[in-house]
Amino acid sequence: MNAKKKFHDTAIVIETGAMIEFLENTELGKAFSANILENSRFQRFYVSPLTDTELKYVLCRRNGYLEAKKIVSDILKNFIICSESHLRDEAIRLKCNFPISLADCYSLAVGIILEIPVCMKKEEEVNRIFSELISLVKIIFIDDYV
Amino acid sequence: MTTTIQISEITKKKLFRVINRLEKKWSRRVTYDEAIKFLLQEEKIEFSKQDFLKNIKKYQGILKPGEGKSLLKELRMMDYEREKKIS
Repeated sequence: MNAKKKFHDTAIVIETGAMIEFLENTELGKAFSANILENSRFQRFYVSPLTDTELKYVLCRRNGYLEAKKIVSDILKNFIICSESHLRDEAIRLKCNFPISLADCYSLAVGIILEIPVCMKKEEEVNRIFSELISLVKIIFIDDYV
Repeated sequence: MTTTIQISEITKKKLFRVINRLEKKWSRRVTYDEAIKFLLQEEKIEFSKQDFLKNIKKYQGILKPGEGKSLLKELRMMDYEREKKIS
């Protein structure tokens, strides 16, 4: 297996919704953990800078800014947080073409640029345009594991 | 602040190919600095799946069911309403 193929087969982008399910330890979160996080195939986990921001916001509302920053930094310490400047053009192109959140656009942009799958929770807005999105990037819905 | 590094002609040619690929992908000019940063991001980092799981598992269940989802929904709804106002 060459290095490029190995990278594409072992790396994955994780979107905020999937991370939240994991932090809430719901059935979806458990399925996400068992099939994605614990899957030996995946050796590199990417998140967009907006996922970092959204997780900090959620934890900030609950624990305050300093604690949220500390917790989320530790949660994501083994993840690769992509640089925003590499993603913005692709994210904006997606935002212009599809009625989805900017945060989803950034997660999808990571997948498109690095040519790796994006693991998401099935949200109505993304599901509606799924057929168009799959021509751009591979999407894995955690909902399909339960 | 910028600095000068010495690289071989072969490495320079390889970097140039990376720049071409990135320029095509990002539809804009890409500097050598950006190409090196991109490659560093892609480099094989020391990754222990065992440590990764041990660390992240500490946080499984730190939020009550529905708590995070509701805050995230609220955040995205606020952004959506703001977008609607300006578009």
